[in-house]
Amino acid sequence: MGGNQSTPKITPQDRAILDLKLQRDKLRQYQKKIQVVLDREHAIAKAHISTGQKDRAIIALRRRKYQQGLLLKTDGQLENLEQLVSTIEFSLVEVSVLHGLKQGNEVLKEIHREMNVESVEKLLEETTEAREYQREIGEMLSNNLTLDEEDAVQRELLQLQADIVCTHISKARQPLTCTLLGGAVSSSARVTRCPVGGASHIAFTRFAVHSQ
Amino acid sequence: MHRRGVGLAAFDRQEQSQRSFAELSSALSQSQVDHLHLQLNQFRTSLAHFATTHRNSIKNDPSFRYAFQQMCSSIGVDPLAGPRKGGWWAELLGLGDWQYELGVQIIDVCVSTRERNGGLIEMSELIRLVSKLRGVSEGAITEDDIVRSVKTLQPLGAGYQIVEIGGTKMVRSVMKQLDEDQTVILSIAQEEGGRVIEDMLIHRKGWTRDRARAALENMLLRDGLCWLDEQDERSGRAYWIPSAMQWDL
Amino acid sequence: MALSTQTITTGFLLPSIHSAPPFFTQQPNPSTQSIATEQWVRLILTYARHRKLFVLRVEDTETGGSDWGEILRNERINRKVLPSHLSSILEAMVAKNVAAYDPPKQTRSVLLYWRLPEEWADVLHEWATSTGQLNTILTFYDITDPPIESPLSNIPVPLLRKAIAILVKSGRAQSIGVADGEGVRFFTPSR
Repeated sequence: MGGNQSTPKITPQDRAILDLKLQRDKLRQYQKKIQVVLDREHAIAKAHISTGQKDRAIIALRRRKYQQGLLLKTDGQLENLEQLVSTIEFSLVEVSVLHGLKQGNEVLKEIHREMNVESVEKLLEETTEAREYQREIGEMLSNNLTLDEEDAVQRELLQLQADIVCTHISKARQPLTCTLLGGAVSSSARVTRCPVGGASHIAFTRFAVHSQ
Repeated sequence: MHRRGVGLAAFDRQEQSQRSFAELSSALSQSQVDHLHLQLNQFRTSLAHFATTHRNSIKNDPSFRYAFQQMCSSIGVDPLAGPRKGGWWAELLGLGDWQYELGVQIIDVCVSTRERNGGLIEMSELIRLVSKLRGVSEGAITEDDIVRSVKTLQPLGAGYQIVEIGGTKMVRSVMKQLDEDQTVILSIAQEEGGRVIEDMLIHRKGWTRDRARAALENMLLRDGLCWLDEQDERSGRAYWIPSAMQWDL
Repeated sequence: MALSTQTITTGFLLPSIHSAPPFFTQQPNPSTQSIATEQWVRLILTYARHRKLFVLRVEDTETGGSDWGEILRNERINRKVLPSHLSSILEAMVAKNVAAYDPPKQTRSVLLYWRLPEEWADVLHEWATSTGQLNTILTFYDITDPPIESPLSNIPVPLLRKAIAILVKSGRAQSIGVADGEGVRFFTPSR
């Protein structure tokens, strides 16, 4: 049973069981004794017959019969006792099983208390909400844009295109200035091919050199 | 013509010839010595070779061992005598241990049987038990081997000695000195398979009853050399000498 | 005369010394006697273990055909141990703690310890464990006369009591007494 308790207490039941078992032992020993007597009477009867003393043999056999009756009776008693002992021992096992079941039940109850219906519903609700939220984020990220947003994107595109057109115009103007000032034509030709942002700047530096 | 020289020159010449004779002789003897050395070396190597190739035979075959022993002793060496006495022979041949090993086994048997035989064991019994201990068949160890081994045990000072009682060799492993009467009793015990009674000593040796009783009781009480049997059918009091009885270990 | 070992009817191998006539006489030389006694003690214990005998009585030298006949007598050489001799052997055994006078306060009969009470205690607990009888109340009769023969069958109650006392001390058993007798309950020792 328990792993940690030291010697278990001796209960009245224990004593009762011991008492019963001791009675049973006594019966068993008594049976052994009778068996010996039976064998002896048998031998005596045999001996008498071999010496021709029929009467005596019959007496021995009668005695034997009587003892045999006793043996049968004790058999019944012994059976009763043994049944009783096993019933009690089995009941003890049942008790301990019951005890185990009870304990298990307690634990189960404790667990159930932790999970009443409301808190479970709430928990489930919360879980659904959280899942919903998660889904939204997912959808957002997976490019479902609103109409307004689409418009904004389109506007941004137009703006960019406008910017680019504007820069081209300013580039076309610059080389013209250089020739007017008598600078190297070849280099300015190269400059035109430069990206839009840097071209005007280069043009100005060159201009500065020539002016010295 | 005075060929025969006299005077100083002749003397010189004579001396010279003498010297050259001496030289010759020393050269000769040198070559002889060399030759001998060579032979000795050869002998050594062949002996070593012989011993190594026949080591098992030397260890296990008593007649072969005896022949080998004879051969070696004729040239003044004893390769079986043990590492110290055998010197380099023993080392070279690796046979010195054999005798010591046997010695240890003799001690083993003597000590383990001392309780019941009082430290006196018959030679054949000892050989039988040593053979059993070595796991070799009887006859693989001879009396000669035992005698030799017991001799190597003498420096131990434990009193190992071979005594002869009534024509039977016995090995004694205790310091006790046997007196003459005891020797007689032992020899009778050997004839009788261990059992001795007073009457035997009186009738066969002409002892008085007192002498016989005193000698036997001494062996029994003082020396512990025999056991008493008070249920002897014929004399009622017999003495049994364990060393004269044959025991299965 | 060759003294050899001998296998007897019960399958026991008698040592060669058992065929030596003087072995059956008490030796007057003390050192010889102690050797002889030692041999006797060993012989008695090994024979007792072989035949599961628990009790040796001085009378066993006298009663022919007793359990001890094969040992205390040697018909082949017509020798037997005399009561006074056996009595001194019993004394030596008690002194060596390989036997105990039982009942106490007499010197005619001993309980043989071919297993020491401590060893019996272990055997007992092991038997209870292997037969599933832990935590059950058992009578002594349950142990000494089990339906299936066990190493403890026929163990004398005094010896059983000693073994149980050892188990109680080490927390492996509990003895229960009622007006009518005693019982015992075994369990796995608490740690």
